[in-house]
Amino acid sequence: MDKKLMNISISMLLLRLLEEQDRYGYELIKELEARSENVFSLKEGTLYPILHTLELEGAVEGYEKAAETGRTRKYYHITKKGLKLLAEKKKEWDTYQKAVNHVIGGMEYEYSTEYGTAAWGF
Amino acid sequence: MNILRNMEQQPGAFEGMDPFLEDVAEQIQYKPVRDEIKSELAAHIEDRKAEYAGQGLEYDKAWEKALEDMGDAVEIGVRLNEAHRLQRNQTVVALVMALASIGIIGNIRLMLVENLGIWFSGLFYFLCGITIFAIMYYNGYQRLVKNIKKINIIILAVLGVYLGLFFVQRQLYSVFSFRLTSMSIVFALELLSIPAVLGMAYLNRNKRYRPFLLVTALTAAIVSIAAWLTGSYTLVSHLVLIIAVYAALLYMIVKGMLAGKPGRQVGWWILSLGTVAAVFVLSFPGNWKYELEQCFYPEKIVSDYWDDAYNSILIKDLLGKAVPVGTVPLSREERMGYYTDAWYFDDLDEFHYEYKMQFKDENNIMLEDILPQHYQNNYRITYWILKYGWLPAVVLLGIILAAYGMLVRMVSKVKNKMGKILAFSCVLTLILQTVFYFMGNMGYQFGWFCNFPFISEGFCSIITNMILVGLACSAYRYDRVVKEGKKGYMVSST
Repeated sequence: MDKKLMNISISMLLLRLLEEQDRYGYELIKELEARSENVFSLKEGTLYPILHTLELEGAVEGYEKAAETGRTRKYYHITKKGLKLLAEKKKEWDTYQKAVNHVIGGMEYEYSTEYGTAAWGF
Repeated sequence: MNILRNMEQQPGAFEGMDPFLEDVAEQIQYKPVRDEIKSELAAHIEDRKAEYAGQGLEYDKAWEKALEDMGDAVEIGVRLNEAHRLQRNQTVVALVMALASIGIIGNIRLMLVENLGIWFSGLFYFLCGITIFAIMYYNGYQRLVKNIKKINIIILAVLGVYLGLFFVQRQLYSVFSFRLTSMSIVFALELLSIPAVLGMAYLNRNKRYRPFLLVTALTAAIVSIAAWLTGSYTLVSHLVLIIAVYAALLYMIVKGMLAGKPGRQVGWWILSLGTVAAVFVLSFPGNWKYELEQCFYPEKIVSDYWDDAYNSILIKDLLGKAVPVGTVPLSREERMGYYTDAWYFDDLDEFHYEYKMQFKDENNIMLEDILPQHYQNNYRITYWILKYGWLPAVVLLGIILAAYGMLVRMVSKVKNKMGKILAFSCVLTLILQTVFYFMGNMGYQFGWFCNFPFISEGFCSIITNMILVGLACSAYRYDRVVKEGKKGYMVSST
């Protein structure tokens, strides 16, 4: 996937995961891998520039908290602005997804989705 | 600190991580954030390594694999640097220096052309102002954020002490002399209190009514004490304080920076503004009717050629004769009339006429002789128009507008909310002063004391305004490296 597109989609997914609860970086990676069945298995260090950029934009807030093991971790909390951004990104993604599906699946796809099937053009 | 804590938990682990973390850190130019980032990455690597170890991998292998999973250290560092770099704003700095240069050139002209040696001290203050700007640019925002409560207390304490001295002094000496000496301090404290008051409001943004109560209490206290101390001498700074604080507070409401329903917040805003305005109007020792008439109908109150009402009438008349390029063309008779004030005062006594003419040859009356006293400070724009023509004055005003335009653009780019509100209030304070100064120069003078930021009155004004612009630029510079804590206070990475 294109790197920029990957970043946009990953930031959307990160915001989605943070919408559920506050999480730290490693937890986010694990959750991302598990839910995407390892499709989003990115180099782990690249997660942090995305998280820090979201923090800079005010979409998330970072805070430190000691884990049960005594290790201090940096947790991220989604802000109101982050929730708004997530809603926007979801909308953009829907538009993008529909456009791609239309091109790939053509009229057959539209017909099949109209009748409730998840098949791609069959 | 955190990285050391992690080290203690995992003996030996840190040594293995060290080269990777150092490679990441080296890419990050702003050094104070390096430890925090290293700590976060170290915690991640250790978590991954622990998982691999739990799956049965040998300690060294688990370690190697955890580091491999992280990716390229340099690439991570470069991308993190993008999120944490200091922002440079050379264009704004250059334009501020250009404004100060206009002021400095004006001072040098006075020294060379008009032989006013006293303006050496003005140059000294310009140099102080530029130095203070540099200090504020590099340290101002972080220092203000960390010490905002103390700054508010100091401002109120200094004004309180001055108020005490004012009452004592009034019993002993003349009020007038004291007012003149305290004018600079009151002016500076009022303008500097604007970002301090708004910073306090922002820090209490999640506590429903408290931002409004704080703004009401602080602004009312500062403006009423200041009004008692200096009255109409610093009327403009009293008004700038109120307008800037309430415009910025409204901006905070519109941008959703305060907790609660916007409709209710607007109600609190109106109530707060009404309270402060009432306190100000009642504590103001001057005459409001006089101030308004002096601004809009100077001919109604003009009594002699010394007062500011006459200055407004004079410059309006002269501006009507200004030409696009070149000095305002005046006949010998017109120059005589303006110089002796006989053009306006029909009943001028003979003593005044003779008194004035004893200093001048009637064939050698210059524009500078005609203009109001202290024109070099109070009527700088008027002077440009009359001396060089409308077009050169418009070019100079264009430079000033460009500088303010760049400052406004810079504020719009600040993402950190605290930084944004502080920068917004500082730039608004500068713009409001300029608007009042411009009005005065067009013959609509409000109050007695007016400054042209960075350009005229190079004493207290230049230093105060350099602090404000330095703070605004500093907020932009550190926008990406100063963060807000979850509890609502600012956590600086330094």
